[in-house]
Amino acid sequence: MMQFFLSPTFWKTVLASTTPVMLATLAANMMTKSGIFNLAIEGTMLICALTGVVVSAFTQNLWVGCIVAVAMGIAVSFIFGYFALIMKGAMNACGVALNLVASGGTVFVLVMLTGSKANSSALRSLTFPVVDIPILKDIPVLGTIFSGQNMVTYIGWVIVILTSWMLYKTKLGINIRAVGENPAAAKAAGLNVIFYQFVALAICGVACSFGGMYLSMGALKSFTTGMVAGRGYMSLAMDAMSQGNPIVGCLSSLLYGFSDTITVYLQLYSKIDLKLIDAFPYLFIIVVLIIIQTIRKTIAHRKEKLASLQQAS
Amino acid sequence: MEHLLEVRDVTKIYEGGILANHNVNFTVEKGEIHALVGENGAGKSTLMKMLYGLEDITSGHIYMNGEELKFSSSKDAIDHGIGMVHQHFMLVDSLTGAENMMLGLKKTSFISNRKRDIEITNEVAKQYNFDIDAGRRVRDMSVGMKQKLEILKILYRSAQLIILDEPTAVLTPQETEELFERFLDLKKRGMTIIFISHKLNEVKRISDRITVLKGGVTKGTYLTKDVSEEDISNLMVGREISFDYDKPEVKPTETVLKVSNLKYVDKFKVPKISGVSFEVRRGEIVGIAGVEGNGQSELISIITGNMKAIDGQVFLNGKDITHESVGNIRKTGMSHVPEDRMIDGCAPEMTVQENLTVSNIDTFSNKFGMIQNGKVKEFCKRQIEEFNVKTMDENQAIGSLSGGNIQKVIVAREFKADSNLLVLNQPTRGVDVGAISFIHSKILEMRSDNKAILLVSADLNELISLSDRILVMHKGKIVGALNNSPKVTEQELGLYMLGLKKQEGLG
Ligand SMILES: Nc1ncnc2c1ncn2[C@@H]1O[C@H](COP(=O)(O)OP(=O)(O)OP(=O)(O)O)[C@@H](O)[C@H]1O
Ligand SMILES: [Mg+2]
Repeated sequence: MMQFFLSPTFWKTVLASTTPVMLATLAANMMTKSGIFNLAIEGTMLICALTGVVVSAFTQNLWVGCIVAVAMGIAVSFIFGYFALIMKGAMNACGVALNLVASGGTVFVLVMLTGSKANSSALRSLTFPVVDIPILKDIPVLGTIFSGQNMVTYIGWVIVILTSWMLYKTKLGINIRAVGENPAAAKAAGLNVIFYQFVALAICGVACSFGGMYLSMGALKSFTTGMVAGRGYMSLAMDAMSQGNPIVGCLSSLLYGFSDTITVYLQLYSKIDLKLIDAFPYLFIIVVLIIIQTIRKTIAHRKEKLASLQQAS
Repeated sequence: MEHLLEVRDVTKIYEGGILANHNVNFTVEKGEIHALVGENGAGKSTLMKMLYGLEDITSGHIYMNGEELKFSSSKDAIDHGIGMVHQHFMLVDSLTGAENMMLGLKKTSFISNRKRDIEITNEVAKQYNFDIDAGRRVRDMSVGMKQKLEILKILYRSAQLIILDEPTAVLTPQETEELFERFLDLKKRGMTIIFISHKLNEVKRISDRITVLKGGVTKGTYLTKDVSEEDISNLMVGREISFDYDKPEVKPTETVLKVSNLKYVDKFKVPKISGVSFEVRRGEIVGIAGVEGNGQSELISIITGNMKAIDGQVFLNGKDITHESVGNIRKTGMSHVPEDRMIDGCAPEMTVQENLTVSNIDTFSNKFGMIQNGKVKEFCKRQIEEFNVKTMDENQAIGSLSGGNIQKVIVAREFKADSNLLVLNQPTRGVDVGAISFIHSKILEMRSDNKAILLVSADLNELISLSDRILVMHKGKIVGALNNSPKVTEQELGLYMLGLKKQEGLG
């Protein structure tokens, strides 16, 4: 029954379902690196998911929808920034408040526009196309896995690579990290702390918006109430695991994609109770986290041992 | 003649109504080294932060070359050629020295160039005769190197006026000496330096003029050659201070701390402690001397449970605590005044009260386990008064106290914990002369109360005037165990510290 591990389509699905969590994790990474605790990633994704659907439906132009949703993501992040950084509200409270606004507000708008509380299928919204990568698509296994993904997945990869390059190789990135790690030192060096935190918030907003749009304009063809379903919160765990590093963050989110996909396959192929299967991704991630932590500890321990042996000799 | 800098009637009131500076007046001439002295909380750092654009001026004026300065951030100050080394380090730990050097500079390119940054940093370092490892991350640097990096940062921003807020507080005498050479060098190049220190011998040695602040007001400016150290301390605290204590006779009794054959290797695989053994008994003060980096900090970290030894044992009150947690070690009867007060000593955002009672809060609970606020308040008020902490009240955030006053709070907390062993690591670092003599008298009081005391200090005077025995560390070993009566001389200690003299047969 486990032979689906060998099928390229399984791995293709893994990559696909990783996309939204990967983007959310990137958003969380930016927040950690700039010294912000933003719980509102979940809500921001939800708002953007709806914005993309609505605007693309009314303008019948995918790109207008996309741009407005991105602008919305940045705007929501800036609202968070205004309350948390400028008005100095408690960050966790600001995050929770925005999430509540998002979950209530999206339903409200949905009902106004479609009359339905559940989904936007009444709207003729547009979706991002699936992209075939020329030469790659003809290579057997790799082609199936890496080609033919949704356009947002590719955009996501580009964003992750650009962001980590920005964070570690450019002055902007160094400044953002300095601001996040030691704001007093950054201030004394003449940096404008709030400015760099808002730059980080903008990037967070962009990542959230693509993450949200992937759900409502890629994976599914319409908006469903509460469709982010905890991915924003999941990203906080992935972020903690990657300690703010976007590339590691991207790899950790693969873990989510993997367990999420297995769940789908288990539902199809096994007779285990559905409720139990639903819990699988979370259990799986906890177990993996424990394993990783143990490995980290053992390595650290080994190093110490080695050092002491060398000294003894 | 026009002054380089003129501070006229400057007043600073912090939010919360704390008056830190009151109509302060003083002038700085081009090319001089101007010392600023005053008790803890006199308002020295506050005044300098205003000069550097980190705090707004409540009222008054500051002129530079006759032009009035109105800064909204430190960026403006940097643009005007003012640079500042802060009392507590302002470096980003996870970045390298070179990256810290370049932080906030306009003239660098958007894409950072590691190699070039390191080259530039090394070049600047060479130009000023500073010795630093530019590619190393700040968190792996020694305090001395960090301090040099801070100064280089300023020089690279082509500062003409350099403000140094207690730059030598964290340095060893050797490092201080080296730094002073650099200062005199800078002075020759026409730079102006404002220098804050509590060490009056340093002030006397390096400065041209001295301004004394007391309680936020200027007491006057004096030519250094006209005043003696006693005069300065008189002006600062209003009385003469001497470090010659009458130590009462105390017979040491049973052993409290026993360290046997301790070993430690750091993460660069450098052996830091190679087989150290000694004992500390009730009623005695054992001092540890040594040039920084010879294993003293590691030794203290291991004894206090903050680091784990790779071999050897530590016994407290007869119990093996080598592998215990910090919490358990404290419960077994150890108090610790750590070296870095901002990182290990306090929670800066929390109040003085919370910081004072964090380790003994249980003792204020009633039989239902509820904290009795009244008692806590009363206890804190008593400590604040006894230790003469300058704070609005017990609810002020400890991070907004002056450096020396933060230290007094930490000392108060640790001394009141009623432990058998007190581990004091640089207990009077950054503390004014008046408060130093007060803390010293408290330490001697603890000795009379039959506590065992382990004292680490970079200040040899302090070690000699307090200790009953002095252990000297060199390259991770104890090379001298000296009985301090009659008192050993600084020269004698120096020979051991530099490894020129050794006693055989010590652990
Ligand atoms: N951010 C702040 N908020 C409120 N009060 C403050 C703040 N910073 C300093 N103060 C208060 O201003 C007074 C002067 O402090 P300052 O740091 O200037 O003293 P200092 O002369 O540098 O002392 P030290 O030698 O101990 O460093 C103190 O009473 C301190 O409690
Ligand atoms: Mg100060």
